[in-house]
Amino acid sequence: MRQLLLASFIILAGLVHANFEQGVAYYQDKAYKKAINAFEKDWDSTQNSANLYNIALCELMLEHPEKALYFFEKTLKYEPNNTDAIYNASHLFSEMNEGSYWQHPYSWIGRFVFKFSSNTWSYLSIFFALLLGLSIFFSLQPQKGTRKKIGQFGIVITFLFLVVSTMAAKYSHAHFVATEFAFSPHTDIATYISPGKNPTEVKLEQNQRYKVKAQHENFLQIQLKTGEKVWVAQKDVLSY
Amino acid sequence: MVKHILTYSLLFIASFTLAQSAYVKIKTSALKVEENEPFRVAIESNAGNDFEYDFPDELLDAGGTSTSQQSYVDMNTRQAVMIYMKTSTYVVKEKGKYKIGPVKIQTKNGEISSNTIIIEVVEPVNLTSENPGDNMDQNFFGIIQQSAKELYEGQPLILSSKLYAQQELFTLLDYQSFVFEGAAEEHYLQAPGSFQRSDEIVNNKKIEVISGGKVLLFPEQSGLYDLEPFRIAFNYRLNNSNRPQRSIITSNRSEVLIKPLPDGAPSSFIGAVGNYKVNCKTEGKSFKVGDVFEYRVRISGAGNLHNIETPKLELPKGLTLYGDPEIHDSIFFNTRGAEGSKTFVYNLQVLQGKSFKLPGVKIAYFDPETEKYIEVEGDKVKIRAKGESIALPESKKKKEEKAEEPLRTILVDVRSDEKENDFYNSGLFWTGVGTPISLAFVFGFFVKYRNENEESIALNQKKKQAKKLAVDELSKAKAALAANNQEEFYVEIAHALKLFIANKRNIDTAQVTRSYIDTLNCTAEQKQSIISIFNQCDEAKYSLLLERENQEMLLENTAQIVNELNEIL
Repeated sequence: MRQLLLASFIILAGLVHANFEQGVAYYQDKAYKKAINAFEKDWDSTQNSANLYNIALCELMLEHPEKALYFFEKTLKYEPNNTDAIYNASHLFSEMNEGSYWQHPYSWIGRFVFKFSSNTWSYLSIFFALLLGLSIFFSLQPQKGTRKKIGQFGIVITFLFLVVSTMAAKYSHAHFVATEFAFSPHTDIATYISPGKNPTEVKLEQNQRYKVKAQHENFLQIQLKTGEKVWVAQKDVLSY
Repeated sequence: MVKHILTYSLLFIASFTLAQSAYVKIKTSALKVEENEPFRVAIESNAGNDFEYDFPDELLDAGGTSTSQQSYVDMNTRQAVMIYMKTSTYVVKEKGKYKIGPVKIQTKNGEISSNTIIIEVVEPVNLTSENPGDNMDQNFFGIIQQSAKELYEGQPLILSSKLYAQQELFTLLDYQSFVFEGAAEEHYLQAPGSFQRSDEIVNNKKIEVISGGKVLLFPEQSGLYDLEPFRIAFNYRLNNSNRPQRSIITSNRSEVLIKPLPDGAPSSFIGAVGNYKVNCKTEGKSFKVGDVFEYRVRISGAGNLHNIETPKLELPKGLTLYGDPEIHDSIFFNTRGAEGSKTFVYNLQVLQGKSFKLPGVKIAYFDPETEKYIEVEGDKVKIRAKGESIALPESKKKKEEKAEEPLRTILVDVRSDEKENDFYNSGLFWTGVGTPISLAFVFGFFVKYRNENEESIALNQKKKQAKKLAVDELSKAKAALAANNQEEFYVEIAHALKLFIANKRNIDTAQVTRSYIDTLNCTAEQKQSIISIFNQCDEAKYSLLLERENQEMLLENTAQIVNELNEIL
């Protein structure tokens, strides 16, 4: 039975990996649409951002710059310091929006936090919790000595690190789970005051990134440059 | 109930806020006019037509006064509103500045006042023409008046018609204006049929002059252009006849040379001809990175102001132009051309967090009087921006270099491990964080408690051990009895009892004396039993005949007293 399970696992793992390799092969054969399908399948099963970058390249080859830009930016959600994705996104944006300049979706602090997974930050939190526990234990010792002083100092330091790493884990977790930005592939996108109700005459700018402020079922509330907030259907925009 | 009160209060306040309050205001057709040039002054109010005003005496009626009124429904208050207007035409004969207003009106809420307007009256532009003295052989002759025979591209050209009459004129019947034989932008400074009468001395003879049809032209191309004559039909009285005679005259023909602007225009030349100045300012001084703010460049003066080009901005690094500038005009057409101001509102985006010094916008214009290009510059503006810098605009050269560099299209063919994000907020995570801290407190306080209560814990331990140790000693006594070792038996009995009491009271066995026994917290009978056991042990040391029965009884009594005292002590 154990051998059967192991064999099934190996086959499954091989199949999963096969999608990615197939995508690479299709890309090299210039079968970009097939490559996108393969990378999408691999993305669905592994959530590995290498797929997103590769899809962006395929879209670029298919001369869909707006989709390529979206996928380069989506790559940055998972790898905020991917220099190739940054370069390509910046380059594409400047080409599509004459006179405007691309801005990284995340601030430097976000880029540092999101560089690591939520789990990494969580393990770090546990590590600092252990150190904090040790510090508390030492500081409660009745003897007045170096160990007690180290304990008291350790409480302050490890508590700070614990808070920071826990906050980073929290934001990182929220970042990877939530929809944060919406891309407008064209200007004819219906906008609403309420989710799906009360249409407005607001027109979105093409190939612009909008910050998502809230989500309700299949609708996203986005913030315009003027500060105004409108709702759009998630299917009408490219979101990540 | 509260909800209704709030709703009605809100509606009540809104009706007052949105309802248009009573007003009276003055508008004029121009802010700068020439001597004897007619201009209109309109008074408008929604509070009645009993206007009270005292305009300067220099304002002379030049076309009468008309009144009108119109009504409309105010959609905020749903009430009909009446607007009263009174329009008068004036001329001023002497140059100077004249204050018009305020106009006052009495309402049921008191008196309200209008704005005031300053009208500047200037000397008329000298128009040149043929010498009328050369035509004195004709009873009626017309001459085209023009501001210049030669002018530069972009410079305004003023033309008007003048009819000289040596006979008495009755009425003007028809007028066909002169024609500029070239492409030009045309603005009427006077209505085509509007003429003024005056007297002029020509060759020492006072003759009647009818002038009008003043037009402002902006010729569009350089070259020599003809001015085709104007025609005018009129009735006049011939000598002393009562019967009016009809006549049509054709004026002289003229020409005008439009010269191209000289070479050597500075790069900041914006096509402006005339006289101008620049003023620059921003909306606010402090911004955050990413903010878009307005940078206003106001160009004011007279000439071809309406046709000037948008000035170029030279922005410091860290600022970028956001979209095209908005343009706001405030321009009047008069004998100096297009006069007033044109404001270019640039939207700038802050890309860097630092202090900026915006250089004043530099423009160049051509001054036809000095025939030179003149550069003027607005004031520098300092602003400050806070926040993290964002993508900086690249220099043109760098951008060109970048354009040559292709996109990076090397495929990722090896995947790294994917990021797992499911651990945070799980029970295991919070257990992992909480457990070490909780355990640290538990063990820490436990150790602390142990250290602080070490002595009492040892005492309790000793007390708990007292009976066991006594029983052990009694076992030894029993063994001694079995081995018929008399001396050891009594020593062990006495030691067992002393050890028991000493452990229970945390004292040394040597301190357990008969007098100490009296202090014990037990019954007199028990005290007597203890002393009796000690006595028997002492006596046995000096006695030769000891009965085995008594010894067993002593062992039993000792065990019993130990049991009894174990509960009490």
